[in-house]
Amino acid sequence: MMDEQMNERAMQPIDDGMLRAYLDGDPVLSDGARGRIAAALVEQPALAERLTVLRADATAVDAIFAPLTMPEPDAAHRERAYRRIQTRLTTERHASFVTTIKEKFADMTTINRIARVRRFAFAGSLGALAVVLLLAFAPVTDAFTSVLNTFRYQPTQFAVITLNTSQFPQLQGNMAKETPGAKPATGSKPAGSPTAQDQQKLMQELSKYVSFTSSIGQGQLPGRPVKSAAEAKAAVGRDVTAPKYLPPGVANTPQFFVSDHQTADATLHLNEIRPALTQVGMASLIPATGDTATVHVDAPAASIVSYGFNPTAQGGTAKNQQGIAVIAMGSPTIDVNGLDVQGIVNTISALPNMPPEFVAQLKSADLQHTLIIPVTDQQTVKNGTINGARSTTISQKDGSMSVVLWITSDNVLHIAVGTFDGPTMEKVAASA
Amino acid sequence: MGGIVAVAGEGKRGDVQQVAMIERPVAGQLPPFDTVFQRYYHRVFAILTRIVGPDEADDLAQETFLRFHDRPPLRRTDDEDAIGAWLYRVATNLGFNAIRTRKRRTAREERVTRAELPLQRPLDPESEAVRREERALVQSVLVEMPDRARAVLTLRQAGCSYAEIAAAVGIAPGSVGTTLVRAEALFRQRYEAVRSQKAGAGT
Repeated sequence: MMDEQMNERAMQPIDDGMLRAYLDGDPVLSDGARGRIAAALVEQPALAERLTVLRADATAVDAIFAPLTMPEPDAAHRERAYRRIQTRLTTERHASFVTTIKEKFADMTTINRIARVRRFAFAGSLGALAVVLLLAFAPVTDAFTSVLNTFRYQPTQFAVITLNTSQFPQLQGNMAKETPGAKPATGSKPAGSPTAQDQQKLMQELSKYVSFTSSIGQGQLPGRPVKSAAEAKAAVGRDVTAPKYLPPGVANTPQFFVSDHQTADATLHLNEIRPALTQVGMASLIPATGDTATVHVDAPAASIVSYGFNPTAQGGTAKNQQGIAVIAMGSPTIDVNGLDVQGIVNTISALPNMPPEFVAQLKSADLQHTLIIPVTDQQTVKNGTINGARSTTISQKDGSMSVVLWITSDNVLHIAVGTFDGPTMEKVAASA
Repeated sequence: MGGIVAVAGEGKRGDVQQVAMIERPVAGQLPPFDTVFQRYYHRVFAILTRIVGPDEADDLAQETFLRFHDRPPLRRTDDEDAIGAWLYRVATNLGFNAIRTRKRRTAREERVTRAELPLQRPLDPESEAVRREERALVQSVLVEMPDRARAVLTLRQAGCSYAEIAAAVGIAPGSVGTTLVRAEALFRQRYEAVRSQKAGAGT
């Protein structure tokens, strides 16, 4: 094809392009074309003069480029470069993994989520999803044994793990600048945080190893408004937990929502994971046989009653809302099959660059019965009691938003959240 | 879970298992990663030194091969020209993007790993400063040129054949000479204009 093209060109008038190729001695010119040009240069002084100009131009450009010319990389250079590629292939994969974990923790930060008014109705489902992610990426429980590959997790208490925002940069900005009721700022991630494309890439990479399925569809809102407390009770199967005390300025018209029963599953593809572990002598982390390990979360239905919030409000109206909401949901159960969970906890803990205090908190928690709530150091945390049940209050330091969490003896998780400081929200919680 | 691979691999860099791990994603349709690396690294590095200079060229050459590792071209095993063209195109794009943003250079200067490359250490700080200034001038002219012209010029300066240039840029081999002549003329014109401007500003 190229020869045909050159032969065709050989019959054309000799232009600068052909002269340049002649000058360069490039094989793009056929022998015939080269001979024709050589003959023409002898016969046509103007053409020879043109070649001289082109040669001078090329020499001048070469001279300009000379400072950018380097010796060809020798074998040692290539070896170093190759080793660095190897290193980057390993460390950047690791960095991706750590970034993903951090992203998941950011997603799980309950107070971050519930600061967004429109998501009140979905808190129960989000909690379940968060637990799946927690199990999949920072698996919990120290009660697992090497002979017991099935584990049921049912939290009966809360525990807070503090994330230092300087070590988790993607939490910065989200937490510091979040305005209660504001529309989530989907396009304004903090500097250094992965872009949506990065996250998509990471998730594609992760999908080789872990698959997620959930009854919470993509873009589908699992919560739904209902007309009354009675309707919410009928849907959830228990009384709606409604507060009797409302802070000053909060409209006393309740709105009811129901988050229906949800399930979420994570399937770990052991056949994909195993070779990687075997390669590095860590095969004992997962069973020697079996194709998959599974994590199944069952999140009972939740009721939500809110005062003062209009979940459909937008813009300034949403920003200026003052309100509270109380969420009640049955304790989720999580079943883990086919994993050496303790081994994975240890692996996660041993990851380089994981903040040591975070690892210490993760290891010290009674993870089997504890719902882990990551919070940032931009929030205050206080333990107490609500009507005899142990509670945890997490507040923004400026008092603009607080959440109180407690679990009653019937294993119902309660969350009271509002645009007020901690003591005020504890008073709301105590009245529920 | 991909991170487990990475974490576990950290203690075993450079051994046979690591090499095998590098090759795995490109198995099947393409030559082994090692083969491609050995065959094309010097040319990719040469292209990038002419675009960004030696300080950044190594990083960007690695980035080029990482991209080949992660998202290789969909070509047959024997289509080696296509692999080269793909690598040169990626390298050229990375190089000019790097010049535009300069982020990579800033990051690189902060990285300790630069010390691993004695080849790139200046032997004479004064002459190195002059070279840097010259490089910066060339780069500033190149980055403002039309994409095709600067790619052809850079690839030719890096020693690519007309066929390789044609494949990388996506033009007919017979058009490379003409494009190159025009690119060189434009480059010289702009380079001399900028140089004169700088000289005028300096006096």
